[in-house]
Amino acid sequence: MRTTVIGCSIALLAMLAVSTSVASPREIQIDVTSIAATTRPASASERGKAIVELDPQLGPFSKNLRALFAYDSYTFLNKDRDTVEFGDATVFNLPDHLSIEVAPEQLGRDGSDMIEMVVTLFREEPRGKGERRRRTPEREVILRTKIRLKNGGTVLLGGPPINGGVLVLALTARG
Amino acid sequence: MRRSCRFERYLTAFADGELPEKLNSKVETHLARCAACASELDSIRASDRILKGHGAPVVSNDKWAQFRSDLKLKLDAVDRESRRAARVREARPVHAPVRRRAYALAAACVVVLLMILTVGPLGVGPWRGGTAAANNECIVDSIESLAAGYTPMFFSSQDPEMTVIWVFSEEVEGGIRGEGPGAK
Repeated sequence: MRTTVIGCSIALLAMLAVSTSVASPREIQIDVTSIAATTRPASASERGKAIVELDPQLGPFSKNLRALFAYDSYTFLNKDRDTVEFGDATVFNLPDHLSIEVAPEQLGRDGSDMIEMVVTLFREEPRGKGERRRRTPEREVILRTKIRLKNGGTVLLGGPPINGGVLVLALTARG
Repeated sequence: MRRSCRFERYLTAFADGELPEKLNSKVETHLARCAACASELDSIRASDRILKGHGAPVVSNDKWAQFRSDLKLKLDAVDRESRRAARVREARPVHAPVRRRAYALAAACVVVLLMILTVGPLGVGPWRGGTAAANNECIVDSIESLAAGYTPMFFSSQDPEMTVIWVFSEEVEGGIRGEGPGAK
């Protein structure tokens, strides 16, 4: 009987420890999928028809892209993943001198399952001819936003021009 | 308190003539010089004489039948008690129940841990990705652009549930257009 009680107590403590460690993670996983959205001139035969070219690799986002935007073509560019601790930041390089910085601040404030983070979209300033080489390239902040995203959820960011189209980013955070 | 003599235990057998010859002679020698043992031997012999004078008591057949019946009842009761104790020992071996309970507890713990690893405790954890993917709730607390020529905005859709944070560029859009990103 005593053995059972001791075993039960140890098991409960172990489960509590696992639950606690899982319930308050120190870091989160960030996925950034880069998509190029373009609009092509409609031919006479296509006029009035909603023909959308969608990269097969964008399957998980196809419904959102079709429903939310009016571009004609979506091309998968890249998918990056990184793990970052709360209070720290991670940077993902994007096409056309763009980059996105994700800085998670906390998870589960007020008991919610939301990840609070600051997302900043940078573009490196193009250097003029004859300009001296700078040790650190200057970046302009195209977008800075503070959001609370459901744990495991995705938010779409976009708008900066790239290669005749615009860049769309699907950012997923999991803690 | 009278101190007992080591020959005292042989006195009853000596009185009945049941001691071996060697021990019998030793007791005789001892009795010659030990007044206490001699007195005790006298008492034993006196008791024997009294008992022999009365003879064995006569017990009727009814008394013997009653005695046998009582004895049988008591023996049966003892047997029943022994059998009951044996059954209890058989049903509850010393280690088996503890071991069974330990196995059951271990199995329960494994199940709970698997559940935690699969869905996460209280719906929180890195394992939630699969189930939470459809829940894209997002609250935008602040939004700004520090670069010239960009105008940030955001909107949320319910079906599909998604928040879009968009930065309009004069280079692409020629300014904000009312119909949203990519509108022709």
